Amino acid sequence: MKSLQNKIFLFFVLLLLMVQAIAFWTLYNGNKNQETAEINNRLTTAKTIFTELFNRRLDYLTAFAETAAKDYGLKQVFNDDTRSLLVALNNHRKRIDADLAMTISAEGIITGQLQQYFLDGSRNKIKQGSERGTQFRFTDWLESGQSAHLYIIDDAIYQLSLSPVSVGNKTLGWIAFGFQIDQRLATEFMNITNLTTDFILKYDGMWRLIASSMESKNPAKELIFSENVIQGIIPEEYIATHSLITEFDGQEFGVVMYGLRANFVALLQEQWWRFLMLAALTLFVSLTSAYLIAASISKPIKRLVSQAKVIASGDYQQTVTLKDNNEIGQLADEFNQMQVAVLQREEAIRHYGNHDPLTDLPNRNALNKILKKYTQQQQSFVLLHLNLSRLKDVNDTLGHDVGDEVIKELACRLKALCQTTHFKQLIHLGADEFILLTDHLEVDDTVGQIQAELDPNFDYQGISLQLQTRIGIAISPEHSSDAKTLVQMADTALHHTRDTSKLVQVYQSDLDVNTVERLNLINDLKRAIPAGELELHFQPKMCLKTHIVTHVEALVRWQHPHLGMVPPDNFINIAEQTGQIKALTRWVFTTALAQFNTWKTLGIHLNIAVNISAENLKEADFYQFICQSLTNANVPPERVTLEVTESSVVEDPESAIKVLSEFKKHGMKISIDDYGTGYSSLAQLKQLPVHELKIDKSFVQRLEHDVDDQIIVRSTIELAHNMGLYVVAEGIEDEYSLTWLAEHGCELAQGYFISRPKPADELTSWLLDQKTPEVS
Amino acid sequence: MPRAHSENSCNDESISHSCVQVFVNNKNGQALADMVVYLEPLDGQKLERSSKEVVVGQLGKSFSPYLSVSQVNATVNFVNQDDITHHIYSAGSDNKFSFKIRAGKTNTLAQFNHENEVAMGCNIHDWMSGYLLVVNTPYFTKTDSEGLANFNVAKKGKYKIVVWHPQMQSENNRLIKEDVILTHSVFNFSLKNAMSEVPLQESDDDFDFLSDYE
Repeated sequence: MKSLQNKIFLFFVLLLLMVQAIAFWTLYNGNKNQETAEINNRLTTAKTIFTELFNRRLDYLTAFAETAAKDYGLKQVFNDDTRSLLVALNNHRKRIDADLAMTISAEGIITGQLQQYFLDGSRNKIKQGSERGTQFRFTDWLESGQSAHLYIIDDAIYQLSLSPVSVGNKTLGWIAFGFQIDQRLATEFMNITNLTTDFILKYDGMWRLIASSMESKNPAKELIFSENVIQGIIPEEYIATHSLITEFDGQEFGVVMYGLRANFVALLQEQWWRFLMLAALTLFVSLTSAYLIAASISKPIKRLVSQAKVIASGDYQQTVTLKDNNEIGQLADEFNQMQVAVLQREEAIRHYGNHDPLTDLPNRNALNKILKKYTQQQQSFVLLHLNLSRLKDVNDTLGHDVGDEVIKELACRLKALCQTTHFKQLIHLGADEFILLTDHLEVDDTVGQIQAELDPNFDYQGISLQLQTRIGIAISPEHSSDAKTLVQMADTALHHTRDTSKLVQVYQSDLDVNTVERLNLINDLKRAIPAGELELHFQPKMCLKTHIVTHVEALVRWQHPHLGMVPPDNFINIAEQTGQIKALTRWVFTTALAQFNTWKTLGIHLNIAVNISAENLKEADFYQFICQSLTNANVPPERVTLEVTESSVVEDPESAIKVLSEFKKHGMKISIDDYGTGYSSLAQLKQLPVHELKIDKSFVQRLEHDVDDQIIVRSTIELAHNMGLYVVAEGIEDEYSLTWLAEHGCELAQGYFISRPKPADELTSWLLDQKTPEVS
Repeated sequence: MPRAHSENSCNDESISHSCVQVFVNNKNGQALADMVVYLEPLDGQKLERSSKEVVVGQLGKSFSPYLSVSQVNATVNFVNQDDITHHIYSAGSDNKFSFKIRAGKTNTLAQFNHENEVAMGCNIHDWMSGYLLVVNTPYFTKTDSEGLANFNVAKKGKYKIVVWHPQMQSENNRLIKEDVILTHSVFNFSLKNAMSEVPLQESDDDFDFLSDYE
């Protein structure tokens, strides 16, 4: 309802209505005033005309009577015989067609009286009046000198004028002429004024209707009406005026003029109706125009609105074409340009959204779509997850620009591979990670092709860089037909290559660490310590010279209420990443010290090794905690070994060295765990305040068959010994290894061949058992 | 009071004549002039006819004098002293007449054989108004400026003494006394009512073109 069109239209409507209302009001008032003025004017004019007519008749009579009175012929016969007098009198009467002629003697006797009677419309007859020979009733009129009178004979009323007939100043008598006030006068008057005219006379205190211009069927009613008018009572539908003539001898003579209001205002009414029709027509036309104007303004806007909706819905194909050259037209042009610009930008955004900015290859978003399509088609394909090795080193040493160049080169080669061979898609997940899709199911063949392509070194500004990649592989639908799962599987496989230092790994179900489980573990781990779900197992370390267990390594185990035993590999990482390693390590440490004291009371004296995470080394109060704990448990520091992985030291060697030095100074033993898997330099090793090296089990497990491992282990032992360090070997699974290590001077051995990690209780009896040989 | 030139003088006083003096006053006692006074014998006295010449003049478009008196059957001279024609008439009485009279001419009539007041008018000059009183006695005159009329009455006897004026407000416009006149007698008449206006005999209209044209 609040649309622009409606607003404009409403505005116009209000404006027009207001204008019309003002015009209407003005005209209405004007009309009313005009009507009133017209009626007043009319009535006043009628009254004036009547008075004029009435007076003129009298003047006429008077003048004529005076003239006739001077007539010598009349004077000669004035007192003569009646016949001569009447003839003379009638001659005069005829000249003005008087209705009454009279002669009155000096003595006041009516000597002659002629009255005109109307037989019908045209014929008339003169008769002698009945008053001849009688005394004139109004002798005072004769002496008064006033000539004009109203004279009544029977029912007839006359305007009468008297004039003396004299010789010298001797009055012979009087002569009188009269016009009757009758219907003729009323009708004549009506013809002039268009008003019905009534003459009424007050006679013996009663009004009588003398004459009316209207042939009234009900004279009584007519009289009442006239009386009312004289009293000022005028019915609404009439217009009326009256005139009272009282100047004549106390007689009251009234004339009443009236007409139907409607007749007089008919013309005005007609004008009024014409105006109303015109006003209605004007209003209709102007409202229609207003509507059209409103529509013409809002129509292109409406089109723009609908177009905007179309664009909002994502359809950029339509354009708005307006022929207007006005602002709306310009707006439409701008609109179209905007649409193009939005389209371009959206395409750019979509491109960025689906492509990697560095290589311009499809990214993870694109991968999801592609895989969705593939899986929907239930196609068999191989997903290879490539990871460029040692990019971090390149970035660190040569800078990120070079790193980017390496990535680009890799992308370029893989792209070339896609163009020439069976590879369907190349996706750049970001940084050093790529994904290749192929429907060639021969994995070995495929990997070979990739490796062949990437084999040549990349020469960049004189630097020769390796493009070695590790590859995790998942196959659809063999492993999974779900896109997400498939990617995760490839990722898992790739991760596994890191752990196993292999270059290629095809997914196997046992590689998988259930992710959901992992998330649950994060939560569960928080309450594992207070709930007492954690327990320590201990794995013995045997002295290779004496074959006596002198050391144990404390290994944490999580007895999960639902999942059962959770291996440490699965939750140590979580603890490190979620900040729970602090509490975990401290629990392990204090628990291990307690066990130390337990064993001590049993006469078992061991050195206990506890694994320390790199995260622990960053804790400000870690050193203080360890020392305090030792003091509290009354455990000599030299009976405790802190095992630190080689990689954790590598991360921040300086602070690690600093903290470890403190521990060493305090008397504790420091061991480098998993030695050989990290990238610690010998220079760092030299600086490290350690007492022993713990050779990683990957070198030890296959000593029997792998000559290279033998060389590494032998060299490491020699190196350690040369640096004054003890050597611990872990992962001893056969007697050969044990024997071989003993032969080569390794101090301590740890592994399944000797003992699995066991709960303290279980181990206690075992330890007590093997004491025998020591004793023996 | 001697009146040497009075028409009605009693200068010719003798034993046989009685001098009759009639005074006419208005109601306030003021003398009234130009009142007609005549003595009518009641005892059948034989009197000589009056020898007075009666002139009804028209001068200045008016009757001059306004009032004239004549004995019955006397010759009355209508003298037009104006330079225009008059049309003198009388109507409505037994002594009707009508004639035109040219400028400067005289018309003589001896037809007034009824005792009467003859009201006269002019058909041309409407305003003109005059009276001729026809009496049956030789003793008639008009009062002088002192209001006095003198008569030498030759025959003693009873007389009707009449004062007349058309504008007198009394019965028949006259006052009447009857008395026996034997010797000098004085009669005093006092009017009870005021006189009406004597007509001015002047045109209402103020035009004067007639004088410019013969």
